[in-house]
Amino acid sequence: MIEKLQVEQDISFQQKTWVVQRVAWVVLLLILGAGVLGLFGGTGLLAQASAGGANNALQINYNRFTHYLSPTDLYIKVRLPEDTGDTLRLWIDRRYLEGFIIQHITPEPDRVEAAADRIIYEFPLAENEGAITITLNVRHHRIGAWHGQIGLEDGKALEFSQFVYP
Amino acid sequence: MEPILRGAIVYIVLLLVFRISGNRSLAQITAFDFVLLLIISEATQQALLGEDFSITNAILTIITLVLMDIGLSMWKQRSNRVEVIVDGVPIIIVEDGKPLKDRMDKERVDDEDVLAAARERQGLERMDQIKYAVLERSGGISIIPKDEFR
Repeated sequence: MIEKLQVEQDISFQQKTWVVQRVAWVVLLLILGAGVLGLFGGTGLLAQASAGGANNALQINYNRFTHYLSPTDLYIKVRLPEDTGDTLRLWIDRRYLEGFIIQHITPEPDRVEAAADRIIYEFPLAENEGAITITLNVRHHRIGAWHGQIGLEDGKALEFSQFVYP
Repeated sequence: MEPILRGAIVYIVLLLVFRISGNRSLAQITAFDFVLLLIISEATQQALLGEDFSITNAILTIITLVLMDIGLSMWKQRSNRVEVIVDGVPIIIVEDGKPLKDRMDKERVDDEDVLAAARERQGLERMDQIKYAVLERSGGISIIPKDEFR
């Protein structure tokens, strides 16, 4: 084939490019699918997680995957036994707390105490409610995998992990 | 999931809004059109990213927009109807030196716009040197001069 137009074609390279393009589209679609399922955080199915069961005194609902500097909520459900006084003491381990900035805690704690490896929050209680939920709205500022532990004053630790995407 | 949903919704809304406002808005001929485009892009940025400043969020949003664009272009290629609805159609606005006034009014184009395009593209001097002027889908005006002025 004699081509009279002065232009630098390279059809074989172009054909390879087309193949690479189509493959890349499929990869992007898979990434999007993973995103819809929640693998990259947010409201997808895979992103919501909880630790502790419905039967335990302490249960936490959280996002397994979250983004750097993106606000996310931790819901801590506490089931109060009959003889609870009028304060609730909840501790969170200090190493986990260093990974994020707390924007607000609902309800606000009365006191915050520092211990060697944990921070203890003391919440006032209205008449014995049975179960209350404490919400922490946080922004992670360290990326990577994070393991957290929370517990009631004298109870055992509840463990959970999150992964923070950059 | 939110970046994906936000990206998809903003893309569709912008597409609808620009189709509704007619072909000329895309052409950015004057400062007026340029300012509009500039401000719209600022307004959508906040909606797309929200409070999430992470790279992951930006990448997911970009992938969503690009895939929607590719998907739409593939759909347009297969279906003529979709292509017409999404891209619009070109229309003749000057025939044999005579402007077709009702069409130009509907598209909010005036004689000056046609003459400017004629000067820029073909170096023509007057309306009666134009054989056809077509308002293209891109919002630009293409000019075909009369045979003796080619």
